[in-house]
Amino acid sequence: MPLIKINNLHKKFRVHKKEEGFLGSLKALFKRQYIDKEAVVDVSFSVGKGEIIGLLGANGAGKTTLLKMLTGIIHPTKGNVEILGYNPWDRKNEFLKEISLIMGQKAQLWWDLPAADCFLLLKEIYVIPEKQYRETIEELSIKLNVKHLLNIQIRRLSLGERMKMELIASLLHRPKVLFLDEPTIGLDVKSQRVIREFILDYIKKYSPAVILTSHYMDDIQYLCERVLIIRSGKIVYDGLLTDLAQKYSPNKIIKAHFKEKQESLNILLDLQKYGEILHNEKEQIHLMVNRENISNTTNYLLEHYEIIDLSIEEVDISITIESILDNKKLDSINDY
Amino acid sequence: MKKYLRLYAYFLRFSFSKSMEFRFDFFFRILMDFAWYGTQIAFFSILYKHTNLLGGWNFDQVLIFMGSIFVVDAVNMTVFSNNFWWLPTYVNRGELDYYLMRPVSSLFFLSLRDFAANSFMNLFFAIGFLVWTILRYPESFSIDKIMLFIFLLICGILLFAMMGMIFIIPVFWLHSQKGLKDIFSSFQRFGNQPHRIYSGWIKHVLTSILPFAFVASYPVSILFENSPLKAVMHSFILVISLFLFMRYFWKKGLRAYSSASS
Repeated sequence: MPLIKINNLHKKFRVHKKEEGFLGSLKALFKRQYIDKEAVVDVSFSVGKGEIIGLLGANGAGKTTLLKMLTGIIHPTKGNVEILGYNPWDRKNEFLKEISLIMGQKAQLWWDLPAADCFLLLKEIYVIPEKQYRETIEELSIKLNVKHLLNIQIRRLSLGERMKMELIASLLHRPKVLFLDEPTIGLDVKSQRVIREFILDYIKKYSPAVILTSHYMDDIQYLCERVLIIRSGKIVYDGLLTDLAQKYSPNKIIKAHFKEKQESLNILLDLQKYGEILHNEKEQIHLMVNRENISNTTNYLLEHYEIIDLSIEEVDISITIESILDNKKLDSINDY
Repeated sequence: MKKYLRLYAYFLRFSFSKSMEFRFDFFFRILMDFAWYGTQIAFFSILYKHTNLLGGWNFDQVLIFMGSIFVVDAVNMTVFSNNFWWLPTYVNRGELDYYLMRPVSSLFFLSLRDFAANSFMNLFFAIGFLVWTILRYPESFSIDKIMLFIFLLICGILLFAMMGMIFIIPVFWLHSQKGLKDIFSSFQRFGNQPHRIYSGWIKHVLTSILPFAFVASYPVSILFENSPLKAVMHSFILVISLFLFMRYFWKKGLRAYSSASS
Protein backbone atom coordinates (compact mmCIF):
# COMPACT_ATOMS: atom_id res chain seq x y z
CA MET A 1 0.00 0.00 0.00
CA PRO A 2 1.75 3.20 -1.11
CA LEU A 3 1.43 6.21 1.20
CA ILE A 4 1.66 8.64 -1.69
CA LYS A 5 -0.26 8.01 -4.91
CA ILE A 6 -0.15 10.51 -7.74
CA ASN A 7 -2.15 10.20 -10.95
CA ASN A 8 -1.81 12.38 -14.05
CA LEU A 9 -1.09 15.55 -12.12
CA HIS A 10 -0.99 18.83 -14.06
CA LYS A 11 -0.34 22.42 -13.06
CA LYS A 12 -0.64 25.35 -15.38
CA PHE A 13 0.25 28.88 -14.33
CA ARG A 14 -1.19 31.84 -16.14
CA VAL A 15 1.32 34.64 -16.37
CA HIS A 16 0.85 37.89 -18.19
CA LYS A 17 3.38 38.89 -20.73
CA LYS A 18 4.71 42.38 -20.42
CA GLU A 19 6.65 44.21 -23.05
CA GLU A 20 9.75 46.06 -22.02
CA GLY A 21 9.82 49.58 -20.66
CA PHE A 22 7.24 52.16 -19.74
CA LEU A 23 5.22 51.93 -22.95
CA GLY A 24 5.03 48.21 -22.47
CA SER A 25 3.62 48.67 -18.98
CA LEU A 26 1.12 51.19 -20.28
CA LYS A 27 -0.02 48.81 -22.98
CA ALA A 28 -0.37 45.99 -20.47
CA LEU A 29 -2.70 48.18 -18.44
CA PHE A 30 -5.32 48.09 -21.16
CA LYS A 31 -4.68 44.94 -23.06
CA ARG A 32 -3.08 42.06 -21.33
CA GLN A 33 -1.57 39.10 -23.05
CA TYR A 34 -1.44 35.93 -21.09
CA ILE A 35 0.71 32.93 -21.63
CA ASP A 36 0.15 29.58 -20.02
CA LYS A 37 3.18 28.09 -18.39
CA GLU A 38 3.03 24.38 -17.82
CA ALA A 39 4.84 23.78 -14.56
CA VAL A 40 3.89 20.14 -14.04
CA VAL A 41 2.76 17.87 -16.87
CA ASP A 42 1.05 14.52 -16.45
CA VAL A 43 3.02 13.32 -13.45
CA SER A 44 2.23 9.90 -11.99
CA PHE A 45 4.13 7.88 -9.42
CA SER A 46 3.78 6.46 -5.94
CA VAL A 47 5.92 6.18 -2.84
CA GLY A 48 5.69 3.47 -0.21
CA LYS A 49 6.23 3.39 3.54
CA GLY A 50 9.87 3.81 4.52
CA GLU A 51 10.81 4.66 0.97
CA ILE A 52 12.83 7.77 0.14
CA ILE A 53 12.89 8.96 -3.42
CA GLY A 54 15.11 11.62 -4.91
CA LEU A 55 13.50 14.18 -7.16
CA LEU A 56 16.05 15.60 -9.56
CA GLY A 57 15.68 18.46 -11.95
CA ALA A 58 17.23 21.75 -13.02
CA ASN A 59 15.99 25.05 -11.58
CA GLY A 60 12.44 25.69 -12.76
CA ALA A 61 11.84 22.09 -13.76
CA GLY A 62 8.79 21.91 -11.49
CA LYS A 63 10.13 20.17 -8.40
CA THR A 64 8.95 22.71 -5.86
CA THR A 65 5.60 23.19 -7.59
CA LEU A 66 5.06 19.46 -7.37
CA LEU A 67 5.88 19.39 -3.65
CA LYS A 68 3.59 22.35 -2.99
CA MET A 69 0.72 20.52 -4.62
CA LEU A 70 1.40 17.41 -2.57
CA THR A 71 1.31 19.44 0.64
CA GLY A 72 -1.93 21.19 -0.31
CA ILE A 73 -0.39 24.65 -0.56
CA ILE A 74 -1.40 25.13 -4.17
CA HIS A 75 -4.20 23.57 -6.18
CA PRO A 76 -3.46 21.49 -9.27
CA THR A 77 -5.07 22.21 -12.62
CA LYS A 78 -5.89 18.55 -13.21
CA GLY A 79 -5.25 15.10 -11.85
CA ASN A 80 -5.48 13.55 -8.42
CA VAL A 81 -3.30 12.81 -5.45
CA GLU A 82 -3.93 10.59 -2.48
CA ILE A 83 -1.66 10.81 0.55
CA LEU A 84 -2.48 8.56 3.51
CA GLY A 85 -5.94 8.35 1.96
CA TYR A 86 -6.46 12.12 1.98
CA ASN A 87 -6.74 14.62 -0.80
CA PRO A 88 -4.03 17.19 0.07
CA TRP A 89 -5.88 20.33 -1.02
CA ASP A 90 -8.84 19.60 1.19
CA ARG A 91 -6.27 20.52 3.83
CA LYS A 92 -7.95 18.45 6.51
CA ASN A 93 -6.34 18.82 9.92
CA GLU A 94 -5.98 15.03 10.19
CA PHE A 95 -3.92 15.09 7.01
CA LEU A 96 -1.83 18.12 7.95
CA LYS A 97 -0.90 16.52 11.25
CA GLU A 98 0.78 13.64 9.46
CA ILE A 99 2.93 15.51 6.97
CA SER A 100 5.82 17.93 6.99
CA LEU A 101 7.61 20.06 4.46
CA ILE A 102 11.08 21.47 4.91
CA MET A 103 12.22 24.11 2.48
CA GLY A 104 15.87 25.04 2.57
CA GLN A 105 15.03 28.42 1.11
CA LYS A 106 12.06 29.42 3.22
CA ALA A 107 12.15 29.71 6.97
CA GLN A 108 9.25 28.51 9.09
CA LEU A 109 10.65 29.58 12.45
CA TRP A 110 9.95 33.11 13.60
CA TRP A 111 12.97 35.30 13.36
CA ASP A 112 12.59 37.11 16.67
CA LEU A 113 11.97 34.09 18.86
CA PRO A 114 14.32 31.48 20.22
CA ALA A 115 13.79 27.99 18.82
CA ALA A 116 12.47 26.75 22.16
CA ASP A 117 9.51 29.18 21.95
CA CYS A 118 8.75 28.22 18.36
CA PHE A 119 8.73 24.58 19.37
CA LEU A 120 6.29 25.30 22.19
CA LEU A 121 3.94 26.89 19.72
CA LEU A 122 4.22 23.88 17.42
CA LYS A 123 3.50 21.63 20.37
CA GLU A 124 0.16 23.41 20.82
CA ILE A 125 -0.59 23.44 17.11
CA TYR A 126 0.02 19.74 16.65
CA VAL A 127 -1.27 18.79 20.11
CA ILE A 128 1.88 16.84 20.91
CA PRO A 129 1.79 15.02 24.24
CA GLU A 130 4.15 16.49 26.85
CA LYS A 131 6.26 13.36 27.18
CA GLN A 132 6.74 12.81 23.48
CA TYR A 133 7.56 16.50 23.08
CA ARG A 134 10.30 16.50 25.71
CA GLU A 135 11.81 13.27 24.47
CA THR A 136 11.85 14.36 20.85
CA ILE A 137 13.48 17.71 21.57
CA GLU A 138 16.05 16.09 23.81
CA GLU A 139 16.87 13.39 21.29
CA LEU A 140 16.97 15.53 18.16
CA SER A 141 18.82 18.48 19.66
CA ILE A 142 21.55 16.24 21.03
CA LYS A 143 21.88 14.37 17.75
CA LEU A 144 22.22 17.61 15.82
CA ASN A 145 24.37 19.18 18.50
CA VAL A 146 22.23 22.28 18.98
CA LYS A 147 20.95 21.72 22.51
CA HIS A 148 22.89 24.69 23.87
CA LEU A 149 21.33 26.97 21.23
CA LEU A 150 17.66 26.31 21.97
CA ASN A 151 17.20 29.55 23.88
CA ILE A 152 18.92 31.85 21.44
CA GLN A 153 16.93 33.95 19.00
CA ILE A 154 16.78 32.37 15.57
CA ARG A 155 18.21 35.44 13.88
CA ARG A 156 21.41 35.12 15.88
CA LEU A 157 22.06 31.57 14.66
CA SER A 158 24.22 30.61 11.69
CA LEU A 159 22.61 29.21 8.57
CA GLY A 160 23.60 25.66 9.47
CA GLU A 161 22.32 25.97 13.03
CA ARG A 162 19.08 27.47 11.80
CA MET A 163 18.56 24.65 9.34
CA LYS A 164 19.03 22.12 12.11
CA MET A 165 16.36 23.90 14.16
CA GLU A 166 14.07 23.87 11.13
CA LEU A 167 14.56 20.14 10.86
CA ILE A 168 13.67 19.62 14.51
CA ALA A 169 10.61 21.83 14.09
CA SER A 170 9.43 19.76 11.17
CA LEU A 171 9.88 16.44 12.90
CA LEU A 172 8.40 17.26 16.33
CA HIS A 173 5.04 15.76 15.42
CA ARG A 174 6.64 12.68 13.83
CA PRO A 175 5.20 13.02 10.35
CA LYS A 176 4.41 9.90 8.36
CA VAL A 177 5.06 11.69 5.09
CA LEU A 178 8.00 14.01 4.72
CA PHE A 179 8.90 16.42 1.93
CA LEU A 180 12.41 17.78 1.89
CA ASP A 181 13.05 20.58 -0.57
CA GLU A 182 16.78 21.20 -0.75
CA PRO A 183 17.37 20.76 2.97
CA THR A 184 21.13 21.21 2.69
CA ILE A 185 21.29 24.19 0.36
CA GLY A 186 24.04 26.64 1.17
CA LEU A 187 25.46 24.61 4.04
CA ASP A 188 29.10 23.67 4.53
CA VAL A 189 30.21 20.12 3.83
CA LYS A 190 30.23 19.10 7.47
CA SER A 191 26.72 20.36 8.22
CA GLN A 192 25.50 18.72 5.03
CA ARG A 193 26.87 15.42 6.22
CA VAL A 194 25.38 15.75 9.70
CA ILE A 195 21.96 16.54 8.27
CA ARG A 196 22.14 13.67 5.77
CA GLU A 197 22.99 11.17 8.47
CA PHE A 198 20.31 12.58 10.69
CA ILE A 199 17.66 12.21 8.00
CA LEU A 200 18.68 8.63 7.30
CA ASP A 201 18.50 7.91 11.00
CA TYR A 202 15.01 9.32 11.26
CA ILE A 203 13.83 7.28 8.28
CA LYS A 204 15.21 4.07 9.75
CA LYS A 205 13.51 4.74 13.05
CA TYR A 206 10.06 5.90 11.93
CA SER A 207 9.94 4.72 8.29
CA PRO A 208 8.00 7.62 6.76
CA ALA A 209 7.53 8.05 3.02
CA VAL A 210 9.96 10.74 1.88
CA ILE A 211 10.44 12.82 -1.23
CA LEU A 212 13.73 14.68 -1.36
CA THR A 213 14.96 17.27 -3.81
CA SER A 214 18.52 18.44 -3.80
CA HIS A 215 21.14 19.93 -6.03
CA TYR A 216 23.83 18.00 -4.26
CA MET A 217 24.37 14.56 -5.73
CA ASP A 218 25.95 13.51 -2.45
CA ASP A 219 22.58 13.90 -0.72
CA ILE A 220 20.86 11.84 -3.36
CA GLN A 221 23.48 9.12 -3.49
CA TYR A 222 23.61 8.81 0.26
CA LEU A 223 19.87 8.75 0.86
CA CYS A 224 17.99 7.55 -2.19
CA GLU A 225 17.89 4.28 -4.03
CA ARG A 226 15.16 5.38 -6.37
CA VAL A 227 15.22 8.64 -8.27
CA LEU A 228 12.81 10.58 -10.42
CA ILE A 229 14.11 12.97 -13.00
CA ILE A 230 11.84 15.84 -13.92
CA ARG A 231 12.40 18.07 -16.91
CA SER A 232 10.09 20.91 -17.99
CA GLY A 233 7.45 19.49 -15.67
CA LYS A 234 7.59 15.99 -17.10
CA ILE A 235 9.02 12.94 -15.43
CA VAL A 236 11.60 11.51 -17.79
CA TYR A 237 13.05 8.84 -15.54
CA ASP A 238 11.71 6.81 -12.64
CA GLY A 239 13.92 3.99 -11.45
CA LEU A 240 16.95 2.96 -9.48
CA LEU A 241 19.86 5.32 -9.27
CA THR A 242 22.27 2.51 -10.17
CA ASP A 243 20.29 1.63 -13.31
CA LEU A 244 20.48 5.21 -14.41
CA ALA A 245 24.20 5.02 -14.98
CA GLN A 246 24.02 1.80 -16.92
CA LYS A 247 21.16 2.93 -19.08
CA TYR A 248 22.12 6.44 -19.90
CA SER A 249 25.85 6.67 -19.68
CA PRO A 250 27.29 5.00 -22.79
CA ASN A 251 30.82 5.13 -21.44
CA LYS A 252 32.95 3.62 -18.74
CA ILE A 253 36.36 4.61 -17.51
CA ILE A 254 39.41 2.37 -17.71
CA LYS A 255 42.09 3.26 -15.20
CA ALA A 256 45.42 1.73 -16.11
CA HIS A 257 48.56 1.78 -14.00
CA PHE A 258 51.59 1.22 -16.24
CA LYS A 259 54.84 -0.20 -15.03
CA GLU A 260 56.78 2.72 -16.41
CA LYS A 261 55.84 6.25 -17.17
CA GLN A 262 54.50 6.44 -20.71
CA GLU A 263 56.08 9.45 -22.31
CA SER A 264 55.99 8.77 -25.99
CA LEU A 265 53.31 10.36 -28.06
CA ASN A 266 52.81 7.08 -29.78
CA ILE A 267 50.96 5.44 -26.98
CA LEU A 268 48.65 8.42 -26.61
CA LEU A 269 47.84 8.38 -30.27
CA ASP A 270 47.44 4.66 -29.99
CA LEU A 271 44.95 4.85 -27.16
CA GLN A 272 42.97 7.66 -28.66
CA LYS A 273 41.72 5.20 -31.23
CA TYR A 274 39.80 3.51 -28.41
CA GLY A 275 38.53 6.40 -26.41
CA GLU A 276 39.11 9.78 -24.82
CA ILE A 277 42.07 10.29 -22.51
CA LEU A 278 40.84 12.00 -19.37
CA HIS A 279 43.94 11.88 -17.28
CA ASN A 280 47.60 11.25 -18.00
CA GLU A 281 50.08 11.67 -15.20
CA LYS A 282 53.10 9.65 -14.17
CA GLU A 283 52.24 5.98 -14.69
CA GLN A 284 48.48 6.53 -14.62
CA ILE A 285 46.23 6.88 -17.62
CA HIS A 286 42.42 7.20 -17.43
CA LEU A 287 40.60 6.42 -20.60
CA MET A 288 36.88 6.93 -21.27
CA VAL A 289 35.65 4.15 -23.53
CA ASN A 290 32.29 3.16 -24.95
CA ARG A 291 30.74 0.22 -23.08
CA GLU A 292 30.88 -1.99 -26.16
CA ASN A 293 34.61 -1.53 -26.59
CA ILE A 294 35.61 -2.24 -23.02
CA SER A 295 36.85 -5.81 -23.61
CA ASN A 296 38.63 -4.95 -26.86
CA THR A 297 40.43 -2.10 -25.19
CA THR A 298 41.50 -3.99 -22.10
CA ASN A 299 42.73 -6.87 -24.22
CA TYR A 300 44.71 -4.51 -26.35
CA LEU A 301 46.25 -2.77 -23.35
CA LEU A 302 47.21 -5.99 -21.64
CA GLU A 303 48.71 -7.47 -24.79
CA HIS A 304 50.79 -4.47 -25.79
CA TYR A 305 51.91 -2.87 -22.53
CA GLU A 306 53.24 -3.88 -19.16
CA ILE A 307 50.48 -3.06 -16.75
CA ILE A 308 50.52 -3.42 -12.96
CA ASP A 309 46.90 -2.67 -12.24
CA LEU A 310 43.78 -2.04 -14.26
CA SER A 311 40.25 -1.12 -13.17
CA ILE A 312 36.99 -0.34 -14.92
CA GLU A 313 34.61 2.19 -13.34
CA GLU A 314 31.30 3.86 -14.05
CA VAL A 315 31.34 7.49 -15.08
CA ASP A 316 30.54 9.76 -12.10
CA ILE A 317 26.77 9.65 -11.63
CA SER A 318 26.43 13.40 -11.28
CA ILE A 319 27.97 13.86 -14.73
CA THR A 320 25.46 11.43 -16.18
CA ILE A 321 22.59 13.19 -14.51
CA GLU A 322 23.82 16.59 -15.56
CA SER A 323 23.89 15.44 -19.14
CA ILE A 324 20.35 14.09 -18.80
CA LEU A 325 19.14 17.37 -17.33
CA ASP A 326 20.89 19.41 -19.97
CA ASN A 327 20.22 17.76 -23.27
CA LYS A 328 17.17 16.23 -24.81
CA LYS A 329 18.51 12.72 -24.73
CA LEU A 330 15.62 11.30 -22.76
CA ASP A 331 12.80 12.90 -24.68
CA SER A 332 12.18 9.84 -26.79
CA ILE A 333 12.80 7.33 -24.05
CA ASN A 334 9.76 6.22 -22.13
CA ASP A 335 10.70 2.76 -21.09
CA TYR A 336 10.65 3.24 -17.37
CA MET B 1 -11.74 26.31 20.87
CA LYS B 2 -9.54 25.70 23.89
CA LYS B 3 -6.62 25.03 21.59
CA TYR B 4 -7.14 28.41 19.94
CA LEU B 5 -7.24 30.22 23.26
CA ARG B 6 -4.00 28.58 24.30
CA LEU B 7 -2.41 29.50 21.00
CA TYR B 8 -3.54 33.08 21.46
CA ALA B 9 -1.97 33.13 24.91
CA TYR B 10 1.31 32.23 23.23
CA PHE B 11 0.89 34.98 20.64
CA LEU B 12 0.44 37.46 23.49
CA ARG B 13 3.44 36.19 25.39
CA PHE B 14 5.70 36.34 22.34
CA SER B 15 4.70 39.84 21.30
CA PHE B 16 5.09 41.26 24.80
CA SER B 17 8.58 39.88 25.16
CA LYS B 18 9.41 41.13 21.67
CA SER B 19 8.06 44.65 22.14
CA MET B 20 10.05 45.32 25.30
CA GLU B 21 13.05 45.58 23.02
CA PHE B 22 11.64 48.57 21.20
CA ARG B 23 10.83 51.20 23.78
CA PHE B 24 10.96 54.10 21.40
CA ASP B 25 8.18 52.64 19.29
CA PHE B 26 6.13 52.24 22.44
CA PHE B 27 6.08 55.96 23.18
CA PHE B 28 5.83 56.96 19.57
CA ARG B 29 2.58 55.07 19.13
CA ILE B 30 1.04 56.69 22.20
CA LEU B 31 1.97 60.10 20.84
CA MET B 32 0.54 59.34 17.41
CA ASP B 33 -2.79 58.20 18.79
CA PHE B 34 -3.11 61.16 21.14
CA ALA B 35 -2.65 63.47 18.19
CA TRP B 36 -5.49 61.66 16.42
CA TYR B 37 -7.76 61.74 19.51
CA GLY B 38 -7.05 65.47 19.83
CA THR B 39 -7.98 66.34 16.26
CA GLN B 40 -11.19 64.29 16.43
CA ILE B 41 -12.36 66.01 19.61
CA ALA B 42 -11.36 69.42 18.28
CA PHE B 43 -13.30 68.77 15.07
CA PHE B 44 -16.55 68.04 16.90
CA SER B 45 -16.10 70.87 19.42
CA ILE B 46 -15.90 73.31 16.52
CA LEU B 47 -19.00 71.80 14.87
CA TYR B 48 -20.97 72.16 18.08
CA LYS B 49 -20.09 75.85 18.25
CA HIS B 50 -22.48 76.22 15.30
CA THR B 51 -25.19 73.74 16.18
CA ASN B 52 -26.67 72.05 19.22
CA LEU B 53 -27.65 68.79 17.58
CA LEU B 54 -25.86 66.66 15.01
CA GLY B 55 -27.72 63.61 13.74
CA GLY B 56 -29.97 63.93 16.78
CA TRP B 57 -27.08 63.97 19.25
CA ASN B 58 -25.87 66.75 21.52
CA PHE B 59 -22.23 67.25 22.42
CA ASP B 60 -22.34 65.01 25.52
CA GLN B 61 -23.73 62.20 23.43
CA VAL B 62 -21.18 62.70 20.66
CA LEU B 63 -18.41 62.47 23.24
CA ILE B 64 -19.57 58.94 24.13
CA PHE B 65 -19.61 58.16 20.43
CA MET B 66 -16.08 59.51 20.16
CA GLY B 67 -14.94 57.33 23.03
CA SER B 68 -16.43 54.29 21.30
CA ILE B 69 -14.63 55.11 18.07
CA PHE B 70 -11.36 55.39 19.99
CA VAL B 71 -11.90 51.99 21.60
CA VAL B 72 -12.69 50.32 18.28
CA ASP B 73 -9.60 51.89 16.78
CA ALA B 74 -7.35 50.93 19.68
CA VAL B 75 -8.50 47.30 19.67
CA ASN B 76 -8.02 47.17 15.94
CA MET B 77 -4.53 48.65 16.19
CA THR B 78 -3.45 46.22 18.91
CA VAL B 79 -5.10 43.02 17.80
CA PHE B 80 -5.38 43.08 14.03
CA SER B 81 -3.47 45.89 12.33
CA ASN B 82 0.03 44.36 12.29
CA ASN B 83 -1.32 41.18 10.81
CA PHE B 84 -3.37 42.98 8.18
CA TRP B 85 -0.43 45.18 7.33
CA TRP B 86 1.86 42.26 6.52
CA LEU B 87 -0.61 39.92 4.88
CA PRO B 88 -0.38 41.36 1.34
CA THR B 89 3.41 41.14 1.50
CA TYR B 90 3.21 37.52 2.59
CA VAL B 91 0.82 36.69 -0.22
CA ASN B 92 2.95 38.40 -2.86
CA ARG B 93 6.21 36.93 -1.67
CA GLY B 94 4.76 33.44 -1.31
CA GLU B 95 5.28 33.31 2.43
CA LEU B 96 1.96 31.75 3.37
CA ASP B 97 3.28 28.26 2.71
CA TYR B 98 4.06 27.20 6.24
CA TYR B 99 0.86 28.77 7.62
CA LEU B 100 -1.21 26.76 5.19
CA MET B 101 0.43 23.54 6.26
CA ARG B 102 -0.50 23.74 9.92
CA PRO B 103 -3.48 21.89 11.33
CA VAL B 104 -4.96 25.18 12.52
CA SER B 105 -7.23 27.64 10.73
CA SER B 106 -4.96 29.71 8.51
CA LEU B 107 -7.34 32.63 8.82
CA PHE B 108 -7.05 32.55 12.61
CA PHE B 109 -3.30 32.26 12.45
CA LEU B 110 -2.72 35.02 9.94
CA SER B 111 -5.13 37.56 11.40
CA LEU B 112 -4.22 37.19 15.08
CA ARG B 113 -0.62 36.02 15.21
CA ASP B 114 1.04 39.39 15.66
CA PHE B 115 -0.38 41.21 18.69
CA ALA B 116 0.90 44.80 18.80
CA ALA B 117 1.99 44.97 22.41
CA ASN B 118 3.41 48.43 21.79
CA SER B 119 -0.12 49.81 21.19
CA PHE B 120 -1.37 48.18 24.33
CA MET B 121 -1.26 51.38 26.42
CA ASN B 122 -3.52 53.12 23.94
CA LEU B 123 -6.15 50.54 24.67
CA PHE B 124 -6.21 51.62 28.32
CA PHE B 125 -6.41 55.29 27.42
CA ALA B 126 -9.23 54.71 24.97
CA ILE B 127 -11.26 52.60 27.39
CA GLY B 128 -10.59 55.11 30.16
CA PHE B 129 -11.83 57.94 27.99
CA LEU B 130 -15.00 56.06 27.06
CA VAL B 131 -15.78 55.29 30.70
CA TRP B 132 -15.22 58.93 31.60
CA THR B 133 -17.62 60.17 28.87
CA ILE B 134 -20.30 57.78 30.13
CA LEU B 135 -19.83 58.80 33.78
CA ARG B 136 -19.95 62.53 33.06
CA TYR B 137 -23.19 62.19 31.05
CA PRO B 138 -25.97 64.11 32.85
CA GLU B 139 -28.26 61.06 33.07
CA SER B 140 -27.28 57.61 34.24
CA PHE B 141 -27.90 54.45 32.20
CA SER B 142 -29.51 51.23 33.39
CA ILE B 143 -27.21 48.24 33.74
CA ASP B 144 -28.88 46.24 30.94
CA LYS B 145 -28.42 49.14 28.56
CA ILE B 146 -24.75 49.23 29.42
CA MET B 147 -24.49 45.48 28.87
CA LEU B 148 -26.21 45.70 25.49
CA PHE B 149 -23.97 48.60 24.58
CA ILE B 150 -20.85 46.56 25.39
CA PHE B 151 -22.18 43.61 23.40
CA LEU B 152 -22.92 45.79 20.40
CA LEU B 153 -19.55 47.48 20.62
CA ILE B 154 -17.81 44.08 20.57
CA CYS B 155 -19.87 43.19 17.49
CA GLY B 156 -18.80 46.52 16.04
CA ILE B 157 -15.15 45.74 16.62
CA LEU B 158 -15.58 42.38 14.88
CA LEU B 159 -17.44 43.95 11.97
CA PHE B 160 -14.71 46.53 11.56
CA ALA B 161 -11.95 43.90 11.56
CA MET B 162 -13.78 41.59 9.18
CA MET B 163 -14.44 44.40 6.73
CA GLY B 164 -10.74 45.23 6.87
CA MET B 165 -9.90 41.64 6.04
CA ILE B 166 -12.41 41.46 3.21
CA PHE B 167 -10.75 44.44 1.60
CA ILE B 168 -7.33 42.79 1.85
CA ILE B 169 -8.25 39.39 0.43
CA PRO B 170 -8.38 40.67 -3.20
CA VAL B 171 -4.58 40.79 -3.02
CA PHE B 172 -4.61 37.10 -4.00
CA TRP B 173 -5.72 38.19 -7.47
CA LEU B 174 -4.42 41.75 -7.69
CA HIS B 175 -0.96 41.24 -6.21
CA SER B 176 -0.97 44.90 -5.22
CA GLN B 177 0.83 46.37 -2.26
CA LYS B 178 -2.12 46.66 0.09
CA GLY B 179 -5.08 44.88 -1.43
CA LEU B 180 -7.89 47.42 -1.46
CA LYS B 181 -6.95 48.88 1.89
CA ASP B 182 -7.03 52.46 0.66
CA ILE B 183 -10.64 52.08 -0.45
CA PHE B 184 -11.40 50.64 2.97
CA SER B 185 -9.88 53.68 4.65
CA SER B 186 -12.08 56.00 2.58
CA PHE B 187 -15.23 54.08 3.49
CA GLN B 188 -14.15 53.93 7.10
CA ARG B 189 -14.58 57.71 7.42
CA PHE B 190 -18.34 57.30 7.02
CA GLY B 191 -18.31 55.41 10.28
CA ASN B 192 -16.61 58.24 12.13
CA GLN B 193 -19.78 60.38 12.06
CA PRO B 194 -23.15 59.72 13.75
CA HIS B 195 -25.20 57.49 11.43
CA ARG B 196 -28.31 59.64 11.55
CA ILE B 197 -26.71 62.34 9.42
CA TYR B 198 -26.91 59.96 6.44
CA SER B 199 -30.01 59.23 4.44
CA GLY B 200 -31.12 57.49 1.25
CA TRP B 201 -28.97 54.83 -0.36
CA ILE B 202 -25.84 55.73 1.60
CA LYS B 203 -27.69 54.87 4.77
CA HIS B 204 -28.72 51.51 3.32
CA VAL B 205 -25.17 50.69 2.28
CA LEU B 206 -23.80 51.61 5.71
CA THR B 207 -26.25 49.33 7.47
CA SER B 208 -26.00 46.33 5.14
CA ILE B 209 -23.11 45.53 2.79
CA LEU B 210 -20.63 47.88 4.41
CA PRO B 211 -22.05 48.13 7.92
CA PHE B 212 -19.84 50.94 9.18
CA ALA B 213 -22.86 52.44 10.95
CA PHE B 214 -22.84 49.39 13.21
CA VAL B 215 -19.25 49.77 14.27
CA ALA B 216 -19.81 52.51 16.87
CA SER B 217 -22.77 54.67 15.97
CA TYR B 218 -25.57 52.10 16.47
CA PRO B 219 -24.06 50.77 19.70
CA VAL B 220 -24.03 54.28 21.15
CA SER B 221 -27.52 55.11 19.94
CA ILE B 222 -29.09 52.24 21.89
CA LEU B 223 -28.04 54.01 25.08
CA PHE B 224 -30.56 56.75 24.26
CA GLU B 225 -33.33 54.64 22.75
CA ASN B 226 -36.14 52.66 24.29
CA SER B 227 -36.46 49.62 22.06
CA PRO B 228 -32.91 48.53 21.36
CA LEU B 229 -33.53 44.87 20.53
CA LYS B 230 -33.98 45.38 16.83
CA ALA B 231 -30.52 46.88 16.54
CA VAL B 232 -29.02 44.04 18.55
CA MET B 233 -30.53 41.41 16.26
CA HIS B 234 -29.51 43.34 13.19
CA SER B 235 -25.93 43.65 14.38
CA PHE B 236 -25.70 40.01 15.36
CA ILE B 237 -26.94 38.83 11.97
CA LEU B 238 -24.44 41.12 10.28
CA VAL B 239 -21.56 39.63 12.29
CA ILE B 240 -22.54 36.07 11.39
CA SER B 241 -23.11 36.72 7.71
CA LEU B 242 -19.99 38.82 7.30
CA PHE B 243 -17.97 36.09 8.99
CA LEU B 244 -19.34 33.40 6.68
CA PHE B 245 -18.67 35.57 3.66
CA MET B 246 -15.13 36.37 4.81
CA ARG B 247 -14.35 32.68 5.29
CA TYR B 248 -15.73 31.79 1.90
CA PHE B 249 -13.80 34.62 0.26
CA TRP B 250 -10.59 33.59 2.07
CA LYS B 251 -10.90 30.04 0.73
CA LYS B 252 -11.46 31.39 -2.77
CA GLY B 253 -8.35 33.50 -2.32
CA LEU B 254 -6.26 30.53 -1.22
CA ARG B 255 -7.30 28.67 -4.34
CA ALA B 256 -5.72 31.45 -6.35
CA TYR B 257 -2.60 31.54 -4.19
CA SER B 258 0.37 30.73 -6.36
CA SER B 259 3.11 30.59 -3.76
CA ALA B 260 5.81 32.52 -5.59
CA SER B 261 8.96 30.48 -5.39
CA SER B 262 12.11 31.66 -3.73
